[in-house]
Amino acid sequence: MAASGKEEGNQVGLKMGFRIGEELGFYRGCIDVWNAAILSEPTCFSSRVQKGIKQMDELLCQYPLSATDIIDSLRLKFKSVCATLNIRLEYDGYPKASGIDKSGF
Amino acid sequence: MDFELREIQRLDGHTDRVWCVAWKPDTGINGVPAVLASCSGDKTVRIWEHNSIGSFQCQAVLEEIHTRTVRSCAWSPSGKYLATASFDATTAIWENVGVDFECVSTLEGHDNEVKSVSWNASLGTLLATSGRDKSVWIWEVLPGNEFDCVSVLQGHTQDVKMVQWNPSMDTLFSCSYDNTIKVWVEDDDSDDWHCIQTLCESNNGHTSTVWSLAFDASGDKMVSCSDDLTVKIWTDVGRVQGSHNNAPWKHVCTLSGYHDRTIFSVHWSREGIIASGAADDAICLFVENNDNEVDGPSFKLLLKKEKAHEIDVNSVQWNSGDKRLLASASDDGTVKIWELVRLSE
Repeated sequence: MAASGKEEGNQVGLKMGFRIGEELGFYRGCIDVWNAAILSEPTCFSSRVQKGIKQMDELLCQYPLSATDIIDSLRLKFKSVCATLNIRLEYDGYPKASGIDKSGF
Repeated sequence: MDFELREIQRLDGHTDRVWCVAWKPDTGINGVPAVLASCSGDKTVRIWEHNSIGSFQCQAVLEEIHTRTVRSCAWSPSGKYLATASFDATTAIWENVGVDFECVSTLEGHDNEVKSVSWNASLGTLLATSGRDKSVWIWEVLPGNEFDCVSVLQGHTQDVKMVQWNPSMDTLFSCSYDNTIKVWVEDDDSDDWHCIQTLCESNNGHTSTVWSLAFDASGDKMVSCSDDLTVKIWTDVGRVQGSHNNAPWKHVCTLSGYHDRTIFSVHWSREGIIASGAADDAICLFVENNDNEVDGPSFKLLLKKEKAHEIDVNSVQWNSGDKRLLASASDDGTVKIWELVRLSE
């Protein structure tokens, strides 16, 4: 009983850990590409966007201290940077909300 | 003193439920004809103008941009731009030149349905949007029809039904399917905004979805309405008492027993009359009751217009001009223009 529970927990942990790692890796990749662009062309992004990228970078470096807060903040910063850059990049590995009847309006 | 809410005109044209109406600022006053925008499940926005012979006519149909329901519309303070929020996950910005409207920008970012849009009152330099993805977005309006995303705010745990800026300061209010109203302010010096107060059941707030909120002319008082069948009045005690406070908004009173179905919309006229529209097909008007100063401010029903529409009244808004004009929008696909008239003895 205890052994199978432990094994199950192990599997869930592996799966969750992989998911988080995948998402963080996605943001790391975006930041690296943007930073490379800034390096070769310092004025390619507005100061607001550059600040957003820097803040994302700092958040990523803090992981895994207070992990959940950091992921939430990262997601929001990423959305904000993408909206301002007017690009559609999506990390769609995490679940979305769903609505019901008129409450859905 | 008796009043009557007199139907001036019914505006037909939309082919699906009408969700929201918005009067263009500074129209219906000083000889400038009143102009109204309405948006609908038919994916269009209609612009109605009060013509010289005294009736409202459809002057423009804004279409072919949104691919789903247009849930909400809002004029910039100057009246030069109209912002429209749609279930297609975008917010469109339309520039008004003469009688023409051109879509000059489309704001993308929400994961799905955008439910509400609001311009800040002072200069129209900030725009807020909210949606089913539980988030509130703040955009900065830049020259050349550019819009920068300033911040994405997460705090609500459900669908955010409406965002509204306070008319006298850049404080943002949002209300949600999570039964709360949240108050958002900008941190000093940065693009970061945070929630300073949540009005919920534990501080005399609503017990079900909060659909709409509005401010009085000064911005010191707020009214909200809900699926819990009540209308609530709030006041900014921080400002009234002149001190900084981390819980500035306080419940004043609750108006209940007037609507028996979900209340979808409230609006406060410049002269202090609150209008409410609900799923009981009725419109109610409330005024501050000065008879009883002992128990603090209270409000009383001025009148209830039963069967204002065939079905649900989704939106009510006062014109701020010379006449007491009220516009309403309904699931019956029509917009109605009403005038509040005082009956002579």
